[in-house]
Amino acid sequence: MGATGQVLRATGVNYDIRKAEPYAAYDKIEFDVPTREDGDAYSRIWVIRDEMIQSVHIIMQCFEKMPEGEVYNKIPNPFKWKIPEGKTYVRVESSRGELGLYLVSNGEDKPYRVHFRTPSYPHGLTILEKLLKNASIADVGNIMISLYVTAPEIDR
Amino acid sequence: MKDKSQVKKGSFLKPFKAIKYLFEKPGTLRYPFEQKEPSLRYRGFHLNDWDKCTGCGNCADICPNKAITMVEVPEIKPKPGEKNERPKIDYGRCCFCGLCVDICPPGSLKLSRDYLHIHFDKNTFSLLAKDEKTDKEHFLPAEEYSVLKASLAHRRKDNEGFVSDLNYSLFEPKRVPMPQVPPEERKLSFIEQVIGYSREEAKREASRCLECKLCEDACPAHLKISDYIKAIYEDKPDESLRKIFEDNPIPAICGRICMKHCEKVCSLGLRGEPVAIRWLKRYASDMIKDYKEALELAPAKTTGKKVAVIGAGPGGLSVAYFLRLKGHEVTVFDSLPGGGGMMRIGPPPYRLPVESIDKDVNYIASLGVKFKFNTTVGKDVSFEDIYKNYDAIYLGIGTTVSRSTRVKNSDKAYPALLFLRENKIGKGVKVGKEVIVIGGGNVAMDVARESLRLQHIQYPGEKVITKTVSLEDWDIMPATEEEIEEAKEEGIEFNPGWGPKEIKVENGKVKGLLCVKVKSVFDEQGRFNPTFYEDKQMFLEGDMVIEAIGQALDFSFIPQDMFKKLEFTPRRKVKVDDNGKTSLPKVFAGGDIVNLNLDAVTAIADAKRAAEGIDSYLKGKSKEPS
Repeated sequence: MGATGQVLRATGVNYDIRKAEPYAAYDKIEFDVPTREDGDAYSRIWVIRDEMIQSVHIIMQCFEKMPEGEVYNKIPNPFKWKIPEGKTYVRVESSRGELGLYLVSNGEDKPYRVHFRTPSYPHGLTILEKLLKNASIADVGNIMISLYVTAPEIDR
Repeated sequence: MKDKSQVKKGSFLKPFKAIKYLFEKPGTLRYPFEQKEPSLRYRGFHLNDWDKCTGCGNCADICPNKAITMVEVPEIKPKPGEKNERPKIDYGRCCFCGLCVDICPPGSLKLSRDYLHIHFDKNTFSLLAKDEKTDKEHFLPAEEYSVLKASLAHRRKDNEGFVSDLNYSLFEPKRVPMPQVPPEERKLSFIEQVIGYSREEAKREASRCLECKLCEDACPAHLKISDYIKAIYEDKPDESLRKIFEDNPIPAICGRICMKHCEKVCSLGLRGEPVAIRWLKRYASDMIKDYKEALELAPAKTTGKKVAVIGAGPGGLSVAYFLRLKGHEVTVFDSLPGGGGMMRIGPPPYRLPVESIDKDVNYIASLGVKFKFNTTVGKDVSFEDIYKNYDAIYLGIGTTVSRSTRVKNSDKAYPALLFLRENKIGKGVKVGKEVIVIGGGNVAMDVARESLRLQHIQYPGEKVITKTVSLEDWDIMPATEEEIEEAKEEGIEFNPGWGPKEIKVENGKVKGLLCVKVKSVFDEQGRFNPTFYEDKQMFLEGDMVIEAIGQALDFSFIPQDMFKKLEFTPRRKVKVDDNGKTSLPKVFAGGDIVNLNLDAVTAIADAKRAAEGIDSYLKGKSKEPS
């Protein structure tokens, strides 16, 4: 159903892109991936709460391990940039789940097509539809909030 | 339900207590009468210093929202290397990212700390940072500035927020250093001083170019500079060479000795070092071993017209090349044993080796241009014969006669051109141990540096010295700074501000040069007219004097009756029309005899113009019934 991030981890699946495909400096940093078993709004909130603690740990480790040197690096001349021909999909773990970027280039200085895969789209449309079935009206608010859907992020 | 008695009734005076807030400092800003003080590097509306702005258009190119367009401002009279265009900013699109400031090479574009911009005229939101309608009225001094005025689209002068910083700029202000032979080593032999860029270095240097094309306007021959630099960056030297050959058929020569008018106007040179355009051209020509394979140029269908070119210098070679590509039969006459003209004898081998000249000349010869070397027009072949036998004639002659100082005993001095010529293609010159060179131009620098090398070769291990004497002081010395700097590094002694008075001769041998102090070089009208302090004298010892004070034209090969018909401009240059045609029928001219700029690239520009002129002249002629 396209669930990622806390929505997936609250159902007991230990999956985090930072662990599965470490990018940036995540392979040099220790942190846990908090999970819950029940898959309901309460578990999702708890996963997020645990992740906050992990985030603080990550930041503290970053301060310790940050190498010394120039903060600002000169970038090459922007008028000479060329995007190599081909297509690529890269993804990172965002605060709401998998944030992916699909990019098609035909070798010019600007990409031919760019698409962002945002977590709010599957969470807000497909999953919400399933979860709301047979739920009481009073729960609708909690379910929606705990999915962390952001309207502008749904279609980009 | 709450008990009614629990609700305490307030005093009827309570509403009047609010009056005290009238005298208190309000918690909110009384906008628009009060404004928030923005942070120091706030990115508000644009400021543009029109005097500094060169109109290069880099800001318009980098803008991610295409908010900036360049508009022509007719009031601005552009200086060489500038355009009369200025950026116009559409604030409906601007996202205030500041990329335009980071890319601005002169640093004229800034973001101000103004964020208030209200006006009844919607155009003020999309006009230039400096309004061309009301000129400076938009900008008020800090003391006159008020929020009320700001709300009428006035901005505060010198209210800079986000300004360009070279450490964070999007271009690289530093040039890739050109590897050179150190002065101690190079003064001992005629080894080529500049080693040339490697592939990596050339690519790195080419990547600095911002493609603003100011250089192309400044180049007399209008080479497609940014295109060939881009090709070098993309690692395609053959493509680069093709671009160069569209306008300039002698890249190996020009890549070494060009006067680089382009680099003087390079926008990167305003705050940093200009792109090494000349060295990149040299790189392109050095990388290609065989021009023929890379260029795939072939002359057009032969037209049967014959053109004579007198002089195989840069102009003569270029006109021969352009006309040959158009299908005409071209014959080049030159008195020297090889092509290149003044390039062959003038620049010393450490600047321009003969092999590089031959590379260009051989390619032009391979296209089918006939060269007649060792043929002096007027001696070996008469000008009348050429005039009779050819359909058009191009005069591409240079300044072949050295001027003399005409001081006492100046006949004992060596003329510079003879010295250079004998040295490069003749038998060589025996130099003295103490050489005095008179002159402060580039030729004098060449002569002095060449003489120093000869001294080191002819008297190894002995104490030798070369001195220069020039009328001009340091600040007005006509030689380029680069040349003077390199000459100093090699140990040449300079005596600027002294004029020659007399060459002292004893027993037929040169003893030295008597100099007088110069009072002024130019008169009030800016003409060359030196005056001296007769009482301040100096004696320079030396056993050889070389005069390098300039060259003159020699028209002796043209017969008198024709020469009388040839018209001249007031500054003693041959008068030509827009097609390069002189007042003599079917005679065209270009280069040193036409231009005041005595350099190779101007000669090429003239040649290009004359080649078009000759071509249309010949085609027009062929249409007439014969």
